[in-house]
Amino acid sequence: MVLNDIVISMENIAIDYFEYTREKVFSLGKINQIQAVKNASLQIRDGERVAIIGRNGSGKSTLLRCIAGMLRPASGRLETTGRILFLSGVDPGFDPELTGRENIKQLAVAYGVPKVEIEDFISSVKEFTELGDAFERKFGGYSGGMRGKLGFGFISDLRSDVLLIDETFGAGDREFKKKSRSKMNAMIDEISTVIMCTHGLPLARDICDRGLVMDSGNLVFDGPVSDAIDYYEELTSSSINWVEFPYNEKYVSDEGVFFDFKTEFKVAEGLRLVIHDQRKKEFIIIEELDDGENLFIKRNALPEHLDCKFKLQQFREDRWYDASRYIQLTPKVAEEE
Amino acid sequence: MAKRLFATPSGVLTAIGIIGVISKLPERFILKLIIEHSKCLVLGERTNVEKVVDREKVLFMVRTKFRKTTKRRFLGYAWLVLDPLILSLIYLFVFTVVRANINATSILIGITMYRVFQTSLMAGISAIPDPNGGLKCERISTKILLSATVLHRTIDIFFQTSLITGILVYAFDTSVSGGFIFLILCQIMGFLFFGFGSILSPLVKRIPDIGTLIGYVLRLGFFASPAMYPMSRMTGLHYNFNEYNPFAYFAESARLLLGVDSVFESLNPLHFLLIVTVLVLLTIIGFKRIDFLRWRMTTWS
Repeated sequence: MVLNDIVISMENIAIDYFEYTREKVFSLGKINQIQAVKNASLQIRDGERVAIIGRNGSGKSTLLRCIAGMLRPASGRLETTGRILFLSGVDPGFDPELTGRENIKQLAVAYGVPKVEIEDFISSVKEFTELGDAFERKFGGYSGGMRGKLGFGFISDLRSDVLLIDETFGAGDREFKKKSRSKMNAMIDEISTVIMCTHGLPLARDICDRGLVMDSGNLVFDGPVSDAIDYYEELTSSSINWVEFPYNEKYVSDEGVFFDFKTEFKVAEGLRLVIHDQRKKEFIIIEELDDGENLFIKRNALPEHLDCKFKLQQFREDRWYDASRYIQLTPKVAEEE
Repeated sequence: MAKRLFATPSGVLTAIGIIGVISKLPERFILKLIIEHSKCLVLGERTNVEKVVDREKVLFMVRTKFRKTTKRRFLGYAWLVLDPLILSLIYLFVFTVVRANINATSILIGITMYRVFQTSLMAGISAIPDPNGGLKCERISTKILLSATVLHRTIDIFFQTSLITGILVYAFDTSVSGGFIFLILCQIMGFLFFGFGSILSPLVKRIPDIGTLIGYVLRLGFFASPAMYPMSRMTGLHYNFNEYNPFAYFAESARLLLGVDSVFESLNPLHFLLIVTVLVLLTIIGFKRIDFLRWRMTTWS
């Protein structure tokens, strides 16, 4: 559909937020100008998959919102071609007073799903979300996970020329996460141009071919996604504040590696395990961890030789912090193997 | 077919024409968005399918707005009609039975019109801060937002006034044509005050205290304006103040047209003309600026 090769053309875009603040009770207050994006210029061609990476507050989401036409730039010019869908979170505009089915029906029509296809669309969402009878209940009574499922089920069935994704992953339980990841991949395959801002570096590497790195409102890197990730990791590694996550003991067995921690941890806080394969010089990231005080890594998730370092990381505020001491598995263990 | 087309010079010209049209066709359907500091411009002709989708978006927004006012209530949408009616009947009881000296028709007209005035002004004030009409995944054009708001206001005013008009016609011997004029007058007034309210919108968004102050002024206005009693009951400064009150002209003209006690004919026609002209101008400015104000307010946090 898009004839022009360039679907997004951005010239010197700067975006400022205006925040009204009042320090004293009887003060009239003042308006603070916050520079979120500074003179960003780029061109995105039809068919490109672009990942925007950067710390929280670096201007990724602001840039994405501006591309969607939802934010006014302070200066510069931006031109987009084709229908743009902006997915931020998993709420396309649900009404708590309506049932899941009614919400899907109303929103589908409003987002341009042809009326003849509505019933199929609803069935597809219902089947994907696995909400069962809850699909016929009021949305206001849904749990957070159920809302996320319905939202994701809906937005992943929408189609557009350009798709802007702002961290729209992670709703529901582990099974659903897997399912939603594969559905999102299918959606991305069908849509020609995708721009996503994410903290999930492996995801960016999997899906995108071009990477942009933003830092303090500046577009500091534009190039192949793997180079962008390396650049970002270099950028952030210097400013990481390590935190202790002490453990009592660890065991290495034929089944895998077991850690007994002193404090309970929750996956909801954002925990992942990074295994550094010492021989291949590769990182293996395990993101699906259960809550609790213990951690067990199965042997099949580990390299055969077991010559590796383990690092538990916790996501706080805007970056991954180290949440464990480095644990070097001795070559002796590998020999035992 | 192609061979036949290219066999003669006219055929070649036709073929070139067809190719030209086909190559131009998709371009017309491409949605282009030009985003600058001063504007967010949507280019490209809307196809019929897109126009239908736009209409569905408008209906979605209107339904959502109504649901917000009727949520969790057993009688649902019926409250849109019942609420103004019950409130009017309460005031009617207070002023006709307790004080027993004001014409019931006059009170019903005044209270109904004041409610329309109040809700329209407040709707205008809160029109712009609603950035996308509840649809969060896509930029919604100002035209769609405005269409939804105007349609919502029209239906809402109709609900607020229809049952009371019916009561005026059947229970208080108002003529059918009078009732019809009353409905039209309420719609015009609602439209004008909505446009006026939209001008105040950025100011209220920036300084919310002004919104609270407007609330107080409207509450005072209910008692000071010719809402619960006609202007003929006013004297001195109170009367003089209402000569500059835009609402007074609408309420008194409605009373005149419905054949109840009204001082409309004795009011200065120049004042009336001036007030209506200013209101119309402000409404035009308000509607014209909505797109710009909406765009400007996207970066206000």
